Amino acid sequence: MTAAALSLEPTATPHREPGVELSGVGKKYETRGHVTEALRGVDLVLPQGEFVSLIGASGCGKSTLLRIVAGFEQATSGVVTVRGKPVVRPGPERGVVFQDYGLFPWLTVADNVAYGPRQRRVPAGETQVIVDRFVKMVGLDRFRDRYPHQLSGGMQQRVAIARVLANDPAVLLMDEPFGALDSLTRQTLQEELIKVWQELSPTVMLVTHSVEEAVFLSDRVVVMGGGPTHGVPGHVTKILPVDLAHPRDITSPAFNDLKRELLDAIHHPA
Amino acid sequence: MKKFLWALPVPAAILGLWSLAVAQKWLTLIPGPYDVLLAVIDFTFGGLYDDAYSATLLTHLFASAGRVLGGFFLAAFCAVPLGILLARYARFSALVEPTLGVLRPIPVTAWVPLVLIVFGLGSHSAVILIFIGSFFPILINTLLGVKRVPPRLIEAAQMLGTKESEMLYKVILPAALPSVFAGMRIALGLAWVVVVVGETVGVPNGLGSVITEAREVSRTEIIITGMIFIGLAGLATDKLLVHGVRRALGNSPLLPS
Repeated sequence: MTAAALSLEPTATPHREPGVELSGVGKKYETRGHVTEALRGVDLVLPQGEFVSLIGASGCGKSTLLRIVAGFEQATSGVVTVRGKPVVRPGPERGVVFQDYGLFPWLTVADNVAYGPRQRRVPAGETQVIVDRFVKMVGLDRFRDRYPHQLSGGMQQRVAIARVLANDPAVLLMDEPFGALDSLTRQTLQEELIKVWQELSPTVMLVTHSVEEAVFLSDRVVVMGGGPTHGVPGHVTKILPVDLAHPRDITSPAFNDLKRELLDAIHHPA
Repeated sequence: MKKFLWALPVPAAILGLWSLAVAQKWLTLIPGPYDVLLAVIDFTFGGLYDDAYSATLLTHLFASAGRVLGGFFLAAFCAVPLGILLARYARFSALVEPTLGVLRPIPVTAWVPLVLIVFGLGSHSAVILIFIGSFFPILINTLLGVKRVPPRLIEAAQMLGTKESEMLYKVILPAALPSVFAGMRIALGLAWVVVVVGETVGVPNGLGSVITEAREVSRTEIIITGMIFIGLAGLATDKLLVHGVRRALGNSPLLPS
């Protein structure tokens, strides 16, 4: 897991350092003396700027893995590093987008987006520029003074994305971000996410249940299997590269072939 | 304006029925609305009867409001921090909550004799009783409000770079505010109940003492006058609380308008 093992020079430039590196990551829960092993031996290296999806049946530990990278939970074995630094707690360099948005209901759209910069003591003028930029980027300029409860689910998720982007995160962690949205809104947001990713190039880890979403968005799809209900800890079963140029055509034969391959990997792990 | 007009028919109907009931002698012990109106005018401005009640409204109103607000703010000042501590620190909660659980069901009226023995007849006892009555609604609502802050909001704040030392002020209190505020409104309403109870014994002024004394001298129109002003004062302090909190904390969508 060291830099040497990845054959990087000691003076590697920041963008050549891995964005996210997981080595031997495992997670055990203990409840009343009963130990459940949710994850075991996950090794994964995401170069800075890569878009990776995690997919797999419920209980395979993909969300747990994301929460470990976020710092909400601690791995019980192994190490997670982000740009070379071990993860010990949540931090603004790892923006998290939740399925249920997690917006602050007492703050307007603009104030939600300004929250991160203000916590980092960014000067007010600069914060204003950041807020303007990201509120516009997610297309909510007209709604900047609204409160979350006045917005649709899709709009709320846009605010949540703008809110983490305002912290200029190295890593974007998304836990089924579009799972609660209708399919048309979901497609629009997927296309917008790709544009944002191409413009800002954060490393992205996205947990999804949707094969199509994984193939549409990712550079690589990480398939996970197992989980406590299967009697084996959650683990990575396959990593599938998606070598299609953006924008991707979800109706093309190549896209369909990848979907089939991915479905096969999910349902019939080798 | 339109809302104001909508408010009128119900009081008008009550006044109409009341007049009718008095005129038809269905009610014989109660004066009609006109007599009460005269009492209200005399109580407020004087000049009609020149008795012990004439032009004494402000004296009694300020006496009662002072006790209500004094006891209420004292309660809020103690109950909000205590509620936060109970919600946040399990050890502290284990230490204190069982005792509070026993104290809470004791009605304020049951406290009256003890409070009178300890604090004597007078204004202090009324304030203490209001404190006791206001304390628990604020405490319970603060505690629940803080406990029910969605963990997701804490996670969101953490990943956006909120320090643990700032979490209370930046996230937990704003998220718990609607509940804390609801507790305060309940408590303030209750404070007006308790002030009347507290002023029935040994206090020479206050709207509660007015209606108690008026009963002893069978001045029913003064009793009704006192009730009307207690209602109006309760409404006014509630509005003041709502406006005050809005002024202090900005236009949060989580607060009632």
